[in-house]
Amino acid sequence: MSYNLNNLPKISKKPLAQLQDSLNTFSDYLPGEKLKLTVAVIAVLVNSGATIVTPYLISLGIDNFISKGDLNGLTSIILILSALYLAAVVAGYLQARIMGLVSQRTLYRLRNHLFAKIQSLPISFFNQNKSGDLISRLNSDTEKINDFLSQSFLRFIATFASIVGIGIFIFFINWQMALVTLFPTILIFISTRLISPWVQRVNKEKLEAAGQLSAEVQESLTNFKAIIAFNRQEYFKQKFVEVNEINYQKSVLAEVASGVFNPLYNFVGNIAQVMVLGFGIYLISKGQLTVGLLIGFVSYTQKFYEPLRILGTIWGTLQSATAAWVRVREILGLESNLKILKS
Amino acid sequence: MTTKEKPKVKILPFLKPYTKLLFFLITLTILANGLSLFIPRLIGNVIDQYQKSPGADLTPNFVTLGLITLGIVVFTISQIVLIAYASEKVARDLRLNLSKKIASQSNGYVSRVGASDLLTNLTSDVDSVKVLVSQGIVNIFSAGITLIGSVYLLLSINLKLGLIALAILPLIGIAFRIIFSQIGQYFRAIQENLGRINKVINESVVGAMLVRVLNSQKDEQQKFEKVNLVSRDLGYKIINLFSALIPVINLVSNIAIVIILWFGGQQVIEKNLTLGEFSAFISYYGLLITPFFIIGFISNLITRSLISLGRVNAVLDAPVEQINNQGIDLVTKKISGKLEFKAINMEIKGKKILDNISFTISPKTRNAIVGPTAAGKSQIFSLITSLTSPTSGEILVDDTEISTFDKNSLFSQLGLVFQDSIIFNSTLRENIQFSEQISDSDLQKAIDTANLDDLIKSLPNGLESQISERGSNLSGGQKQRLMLARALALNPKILLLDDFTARVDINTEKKILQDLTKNYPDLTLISITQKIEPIEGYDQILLLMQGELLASGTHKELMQSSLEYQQIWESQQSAE
Repeated sequence: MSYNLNNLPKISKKPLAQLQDSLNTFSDYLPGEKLKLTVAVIAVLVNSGATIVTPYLISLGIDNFISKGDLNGLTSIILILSALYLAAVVAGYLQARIMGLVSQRTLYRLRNHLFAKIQSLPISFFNQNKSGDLISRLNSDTEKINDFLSQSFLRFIATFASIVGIGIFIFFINWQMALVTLFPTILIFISTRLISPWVQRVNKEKLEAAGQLSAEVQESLTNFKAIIAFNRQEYFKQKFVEVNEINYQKSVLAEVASGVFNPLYNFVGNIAQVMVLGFGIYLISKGQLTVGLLIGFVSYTQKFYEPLRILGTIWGTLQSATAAWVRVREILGLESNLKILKS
Repeated sequence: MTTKEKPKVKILPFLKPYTKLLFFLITLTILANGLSLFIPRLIGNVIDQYQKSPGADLTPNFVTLGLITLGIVVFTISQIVLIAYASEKVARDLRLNLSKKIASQSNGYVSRVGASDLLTNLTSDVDSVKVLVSQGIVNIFSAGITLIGSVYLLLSINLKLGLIALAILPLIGIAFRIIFSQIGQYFRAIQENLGRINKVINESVVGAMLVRVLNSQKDEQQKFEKVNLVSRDLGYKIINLFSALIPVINLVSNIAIVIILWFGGQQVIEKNLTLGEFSAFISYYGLLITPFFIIGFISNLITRSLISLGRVNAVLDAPVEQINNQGIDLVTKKISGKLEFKAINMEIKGKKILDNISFTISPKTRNAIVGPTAAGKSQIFSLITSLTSPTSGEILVDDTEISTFDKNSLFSQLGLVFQDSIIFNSTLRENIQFSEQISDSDLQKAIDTANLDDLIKSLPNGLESQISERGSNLSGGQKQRLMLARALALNPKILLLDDFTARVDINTEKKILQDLTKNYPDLTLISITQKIEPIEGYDQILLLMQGELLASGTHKELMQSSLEYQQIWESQQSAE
């Protein structure tokens, strides 16, 4: 029976398929949280809804009241806006709190489960894998999942909701402008498609290199008296230099890969703003758009692409969390092997 | 570890070697973020120009916008590459320094601090310090420039409206102060607890065999769940604080938008503000809020980084415990193999382990230290290896105090066979040929003497075969013999065996001892053992019981003079 984690059949799926797979398998760790998650999702929707509607309300205020000098109208718009904002603040609080607590609980369960699984595995599992690598899966990989869950997951959902919401809502305001606003996303889609496999590969290699490094250190430190007694310090240093250097090279690549989405999305967002402005002025000159709505669309473009950019940043942590989750699952998956053996 | 009080960590000296790199990085950050600030203003200008004269040529405005967009993407991508390079370089150098420092430490240091803690220092602590560079510094500067830039632009567009809108910003600052004064302690506590989690994980993985032998999986699980629970509860506390912070920021930014709409709208109506300026104003206020979120997000990372940096520095600044660096001239002479204990006492936690032990071991003799468990035999072993030092008394190697020896020189003449098998995850050759000075003939002689030839022939790749960390593909006896070969390959003057006979069968052992005398005639042998039979022919046997040296002499002499020796001998006869 092979328990060697490095000889497992590699699951080579497309990044998105792998992500979906990860989400599906991960949802096993969310039992009993359904109600809380529903409340949180509603809160997210209310919050995003407010984000989505406000630029339009401001546009209406500009065109109908500010341009015409109607102070009473302006007051009524402001009152509606204030009510909306208040709801958003309450929803934002609920969302942050519920999701935060759920993610802490989930991580707690996952870690316990993983530890229990390791306890249930036979000794040959430990003989076939380096202790350092196992330890790194148990602590730093779960820590990466934790980083994503506790810091990025929430923003991930919230930004995702407002992106989708804005994407749909602006078509109701002016479909031509909406098309121009959204057109540059094709660039994002294509570049993400092109870069993602590379990002994932580089990330996985980085995690492997980190595992090697940790294994090397672990082995040397637990046997430190032999290192001292046999004057092996130089050998230890030299070996460490090797694994450290490999880890360094892989890490630089992984870091660039995780970071490169940010400027890319920002760039596309800026292009979109310039396009919206140009096309908007053209439409105004033809009498098909008002200045208020143009200002609204400039604002929508910002609110659409800024979250995309954040999503790009989160995407990096998501990728490394997914890679970490794959490594954790490799251990969790071993349990089923053992069960088959038993039965 | 003093983590109760706020750790004062000096960041600047740590970053000093990277000044140029960081300066370059900060410049890029400022350029990229500074350029972004122009965009809302330029868009506002286009709107205003169009409103003033609808027929005007707007091409120059769009060219400027396009150039700025291009500039931003060039700067930000270079920034990303530079961040990756700089932060990973810092991490690599830090790891290298740590490994060098640890390698220069004594065994006592490593066992006291603990392998698992040092592992955490080398891996997750360094990763966390890296974040200081990759996210902390960059984000502080980008948040700073965005904050200053948007405040300036808000005020320059319309001073009065700007002041009103900015007036409520301090609310965010107050909320930050209140929450972050509390949150730091929880982050520190979480980091501390992470060390505990790692310890439990480490013990259960490294000691997996023991856990299974003792069937104590349940206990391990409980230990883990306990520390894991602490982390979760601390996580709850942090979430509670954070979820209070986010609405405050949202509330403030929303109030500001309402104010801008209300007062700004009036200004537009009164023709004090153009629509383009009004739109730029709203955009800038949006930009102004983002840095607060970033700072909130980053500050917890920085707190964590600083704690980790403190822990890393503690390792780097720890004094080296060898006398080597105290300026005394260290002895590096060739030894003959003479060893003397003079009135050695040893106490651990007030308990006497060794009581006034004196003996002399002559060069080229075969000696044994016998006695029941807990007699203090292993203490003598670690004293001779100088892995520990006595409470009082002298240990002389060739009439020179052992502590004045250069450790490298001493260890290259001592062959140590530890009781527990220490096998590295590497080839068989690398496990025996521990030092590069070892010649192939020395290696072969060691292998022959340790009776390892059969094993090597049975393996597909011979000496180059890979063996696993725990040596699971080797039997207990094979592991012991491998350890012996490793010690012999050094061509030592003194060979120390700690309970070597325990796992090697009697015939192999006899053959090994014969070969040892034949192949290494100059060797001084000290064997620590419980079994008398294999050592009956030795030159000197020391009988140790409860920390006292009861008798010494040859087997014959002891059989006549020592009642205790006789008893042990008889008990072992009847057992067989």
